[in-house]
Amino acid sequence: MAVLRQSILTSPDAQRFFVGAAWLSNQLTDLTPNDLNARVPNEARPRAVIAGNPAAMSRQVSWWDLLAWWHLVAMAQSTGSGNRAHRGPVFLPWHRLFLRRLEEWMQIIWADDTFALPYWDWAADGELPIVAGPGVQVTQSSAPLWSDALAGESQGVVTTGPVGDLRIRLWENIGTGALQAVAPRRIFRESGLRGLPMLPTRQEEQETLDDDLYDEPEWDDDTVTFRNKLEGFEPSAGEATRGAYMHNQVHVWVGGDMLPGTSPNDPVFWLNHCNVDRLWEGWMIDNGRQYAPGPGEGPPFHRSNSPLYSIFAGGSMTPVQILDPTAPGLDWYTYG
Amino acid sequence: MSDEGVSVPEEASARLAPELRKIRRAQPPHGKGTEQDDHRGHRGSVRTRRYRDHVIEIVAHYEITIDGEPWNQHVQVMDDGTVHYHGMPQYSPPSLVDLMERVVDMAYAAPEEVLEAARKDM
Repeated sequence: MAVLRQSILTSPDAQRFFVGAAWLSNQLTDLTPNDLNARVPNEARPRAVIAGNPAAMSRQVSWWDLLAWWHLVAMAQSTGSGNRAHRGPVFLPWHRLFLRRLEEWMQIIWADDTFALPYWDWAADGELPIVAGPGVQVTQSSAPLWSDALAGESQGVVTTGPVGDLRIRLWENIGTGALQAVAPRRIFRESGLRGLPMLPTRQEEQETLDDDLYDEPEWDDDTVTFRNKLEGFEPSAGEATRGAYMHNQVHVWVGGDMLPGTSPNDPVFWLNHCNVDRLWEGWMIDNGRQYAPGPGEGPPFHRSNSPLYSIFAGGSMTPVQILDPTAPGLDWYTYG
Repeated sequence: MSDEGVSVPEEASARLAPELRKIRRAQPPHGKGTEQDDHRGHRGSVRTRRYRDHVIEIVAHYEITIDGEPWNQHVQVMDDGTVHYHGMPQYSPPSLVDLMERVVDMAYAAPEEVLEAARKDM
């Protein structure tokens, strides 16, 4: 049954999403960082090899930790200028599959096959003021998403609401470049404080959607195409001066644990990518369910028939297989 | 785990267990094998472009220190001149100074709880 994905501000599943995320983060598997290291594909070494002292390396990781690990392992497999999840055409379908797996986990733990991931319409918040002042009640970093009942604090260590109960054990340390096993800790954010002060705007969103070309050679982070604008290496218009746009800009704006390759640690990662997927879905409804490059074209692992990197046996699919999430045989979701 | 009356059912853990078996089957343990180049400082960033039947290759080397200590991570220069570091995969600013300021933000100015958790287990 296709479920209905709705805005985090109106979704009936909003609270269950955050409570479920915290639960998954505290529910330990029987896998340890040592076990995960033994399963890292050669192509992802050494970046995806976890470092830590013997105690940390033998500490069990949670279901939530596995998601950050999966993302990092995909990211650590180079395909030339990009990797198996980013900086190329596979960015959108790979994250579609990634999101769907979490949605399925949520449906399992809540015993409810109507559960649908919520999305964060960040361009709506991008229309809010950046700083408070006379007559300004709500800013981008104090928007309703950041209430205790939803995502919790936008700045600092998240201590309130369901996300305050969330604990992470794997972190890509930006200072050392190492994927590290860390003592269980809460997540942190620095929304708007470092580097980029604002979220993408409605105008930037529309300019991105107006590009009717999905992708083109060299299939990298330098193409002027819908995919690259939505991923955020290319501005929707004008010169590249900010360093991040659209999806990328949201990561950098939130900052903290949303910056490194372990960014799925923050539940806001999933809200961001669900919105990216919503924009892609709207673009395909307007422009047709097209994908490029086709078989035998472009970089490996970015082709229409390339297997999307999965950590599940039998869980891999190809981009062309998931272009329509409402297709018979998938029947995954629609957007409201 | 609960919040204002919403709690995950007790039997959730048992229901999720088969998912772990799928992961174990997909990721069998194996030997280390051949590792990729780790890109840690000893390679320059290489840009190659064919132009008018000539091949242009630009190799950029950086020596970066923080408080006098070498910072040996690989920095890539993109075709448009922006810079990229894998530790911040979504950020390609036009200035390496901007990028390094973000590195300092994360490596030295993160909340103490974050830095302590990282120090404790290394």
